[in-house]
Amino acid sequence: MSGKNGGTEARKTGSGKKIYYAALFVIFVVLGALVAGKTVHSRRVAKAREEENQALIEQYTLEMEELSESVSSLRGELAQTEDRYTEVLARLKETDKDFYNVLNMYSRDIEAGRLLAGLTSVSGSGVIIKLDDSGMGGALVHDTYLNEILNVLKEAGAQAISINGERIVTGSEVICLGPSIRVNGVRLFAPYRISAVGDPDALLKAYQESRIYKTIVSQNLLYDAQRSDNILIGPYTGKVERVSEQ
Amino acid sequence: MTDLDDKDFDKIADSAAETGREVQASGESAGDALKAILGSGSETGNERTAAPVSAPENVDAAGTEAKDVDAAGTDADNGPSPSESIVAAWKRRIFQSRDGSYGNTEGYAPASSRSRTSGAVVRNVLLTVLCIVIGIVAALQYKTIASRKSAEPDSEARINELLSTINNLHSELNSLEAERNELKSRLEILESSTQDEQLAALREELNSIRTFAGLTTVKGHGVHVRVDFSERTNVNLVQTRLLLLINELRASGAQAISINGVRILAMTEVRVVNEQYISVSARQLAPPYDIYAIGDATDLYNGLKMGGYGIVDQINELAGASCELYVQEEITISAAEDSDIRTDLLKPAQ
Repeated sequence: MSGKNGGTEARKTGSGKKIYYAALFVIFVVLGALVAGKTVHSRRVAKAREEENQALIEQYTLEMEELSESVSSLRGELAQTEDRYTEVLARLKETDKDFYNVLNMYSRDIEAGRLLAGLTSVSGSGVIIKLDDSGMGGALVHDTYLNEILNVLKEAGAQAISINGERIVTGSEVICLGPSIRVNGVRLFAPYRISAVGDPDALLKAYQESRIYKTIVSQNLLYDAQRSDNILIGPYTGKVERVSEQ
Repeated sequence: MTDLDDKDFDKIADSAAETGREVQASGESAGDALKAILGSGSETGNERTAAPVSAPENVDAAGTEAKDVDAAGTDADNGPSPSESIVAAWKRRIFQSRDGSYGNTEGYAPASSRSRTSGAVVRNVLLTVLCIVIGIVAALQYKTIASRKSAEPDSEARINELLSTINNLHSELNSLEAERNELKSRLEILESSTQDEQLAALREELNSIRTFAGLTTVKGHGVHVRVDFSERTNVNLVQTRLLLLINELRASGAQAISINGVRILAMTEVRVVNEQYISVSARQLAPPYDIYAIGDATDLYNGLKMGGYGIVDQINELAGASCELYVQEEITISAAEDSDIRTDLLKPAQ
């Protein structure tokens, strides 16, 4: 009984087998084509991306090399000017010692004034605070946030601050300008990097205990604050045209 | 040092992009595994067609087997999990082959059952080989993903590195240019002017630098803002409004600002002390606050009014607060002391 049943079943499944194999074949062909297509596509995408990156690297490397050249030629020029300046001064020292001393005094005062005014590069330990609104949250870094952070850092004894390389000087504004923020008349874009030289612990503590820090955290902005022992803050590079009617 | 931190910041974005790439890549690997199945599928097909020639009963067996696979296929589609359905298919297969041997006991029984068993062994071996092949292919695929993963961010990291270097070079170039120009003009003065002219030029330079820093007494047109608060006013709100006011004055071109006689410098803070009063540059201030700013009076006035809802209105909205704005012809703002600007933690940098 069971043998007979097995026989009819075998015949039935024999034709079913063919359909089954055909179906399987078609499925695998389609799958194979899909996989091949996908692989080719993703390889092409990856390749295009890599090519794009390589092009960018090439472009930036070129730009960097040009800049490096300019910097080194400028350094050379500066060294030359310095040499000539020292030479002229040395001659003056021999011919007119009194006048030389007066000039020297002025030079020292000017150098001291430039440090106080934020017109020189300075370095020291401190903190680097980063803020970015390019995350998923949709919240924006407002000028008020940066202003509050600056004030917190000043309260904690910061002696030099810059935002994205713009030195904060006596007249520096931090104000919204569309999607960017204007500092010293220069447009800055996120991510914002605030560098501050001062007592790193005091600065970091003050920032992390501040009201503005809580706001930033609650807004899901991308933020980060780290102490650093070697922060370089460049000089104010804008115009120093200030009325001085005394 | 600053460039490094820049990179850290970008990493967050990078890792997000990376995950996307991984997902894509694993899709590829699955695809390759399927390819392997496709290839081995035809192999097993050959084995099956070869088998019936030696033993006709095997057609029967192969038929049932196909049915089993079919059943397994439907199981896989509808069953709770693929592994369970495979187990079920194997169980049925074992049961049915035993059933078949009972049905064909006459004559061939021992031989056919033997060949069937050897067929099953071959299938098992083939399946094992297939699995191993798939495993190797999958492993290789993962390896390529891993290597690609490490290769791709490399170029992106390089781009970030370059950008940060370029940024640094730009600022270096700027500061070098400023230094060169200054030295050149000083040299020019030194070489071509009389001593009196030279001294006058140096005095002028020193004066403009010290004025820029807020270290000279200055006079000029500007605005006077009087802000008053009562005990009802939240002192924290007062502080934020004062910060806004100072920032607005700066943005409107104020060249000197003082509050109750205290000069506002680059690092001057506006602090709330004990949730009670406000101190500026470590000096306690008592309301009303008189803020003076020198600059273009019209610009300053418009900046604070800001078309009907400026900082003046914002302060007036505070409970118990008032703000008045006056344009003033002659304002004198006294100098800050050198000691008001602390530089003991600053090292000169090249």
